[in-house]
Amino acid sequence: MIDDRARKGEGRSAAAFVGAEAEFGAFFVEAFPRVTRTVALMLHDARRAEDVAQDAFVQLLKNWDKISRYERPDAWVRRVAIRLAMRALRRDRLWSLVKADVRQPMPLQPRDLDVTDAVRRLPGMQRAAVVLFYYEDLPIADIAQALGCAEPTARVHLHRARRRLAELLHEEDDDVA
Amino acid sequence: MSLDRRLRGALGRAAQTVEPDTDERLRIVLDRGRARREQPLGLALIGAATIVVLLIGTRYLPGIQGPGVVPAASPDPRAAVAGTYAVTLQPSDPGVTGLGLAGIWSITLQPSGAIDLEPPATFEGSAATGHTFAIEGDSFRTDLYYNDYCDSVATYGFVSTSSSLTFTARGDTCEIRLALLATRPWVRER
Repeated sequence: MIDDRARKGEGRSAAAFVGAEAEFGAFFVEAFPRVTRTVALMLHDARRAEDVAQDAFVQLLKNWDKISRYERPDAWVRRVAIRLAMRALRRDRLWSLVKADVRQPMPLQPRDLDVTDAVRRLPGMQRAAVVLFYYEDLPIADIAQALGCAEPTARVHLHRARRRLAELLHEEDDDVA
Repeated sequence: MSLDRRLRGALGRAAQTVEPDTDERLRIVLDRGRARREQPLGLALIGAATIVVLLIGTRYLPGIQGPGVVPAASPDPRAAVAGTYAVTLQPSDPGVTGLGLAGIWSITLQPSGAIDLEPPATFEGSAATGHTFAIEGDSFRTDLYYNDYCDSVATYGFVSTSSSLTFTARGDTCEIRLALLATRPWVRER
């Protein structure tokens, strides 16, 4: 664990920083791959997901003295990563708006879609809700927290996503959320 | 196979194909953390001073340049529709009740192209934030509610008068945006 001086931000020694980095490193090795995978499922771009997750962990390191005392630092960094991923999706959207001549992609026929293609066609918040529910196995309350919205709103995102996915994948929507 | 099982299985398999270079990324993150700690205060002050100078320059430089130096400003079509508008959607309006849209909505179109949308208190969905619009000829193009309830940007026809803004649908498939924008004319408030 980080020594008390480092935690209190007082009289930091090089040794304290080394200790904090070691602890951060152990957490990073454990948490980084999963956060990256979650973001990759949202962005459909593994390399970009690594960049986004990396930025989230830079923010975590910056606040490590405080966040390391949280019960779930992984939830904190995942929330930051999701926020950054949503921002990336929004940038894409703004860019497509600015480039008015860019055509919308041809709609695929449902039979052409696999699950990940179908998820990719969801709006960002719905996409994030699906990934958090089906990949991260989070309850609605945690999804709402990760998305920064109320629980009913998270439930609506998930419900609409399921309905759309059921259409795209020709499945029955046996909603369990 | 149920939709749930299919989603869980496919997302799990897709996630396993992502193999980040954890060691390299950790090195980068730690380097960036160290660089931040070691950044001298002087550099930060110089950076802050530079930003202040740039901001002041941006604000005042056009005013002190001689005639002909400042490029002629072309009228921005967004300014023509900029303003705050309101609409009251009635439960009897088509599609409104099913989508939970009934009530008074307020929309502010900023000259910059930003949209501020204020839903009625009874609306249970998300507030629209960070959305934009653009004017192209007689078309109003917007990403309103994209990434929330809509999976595409949309184009509407529009008629703007001194007292109202009326949208006409041009193939928008997003039902919530369509019902919101095109059910009734928006009345200009300011």
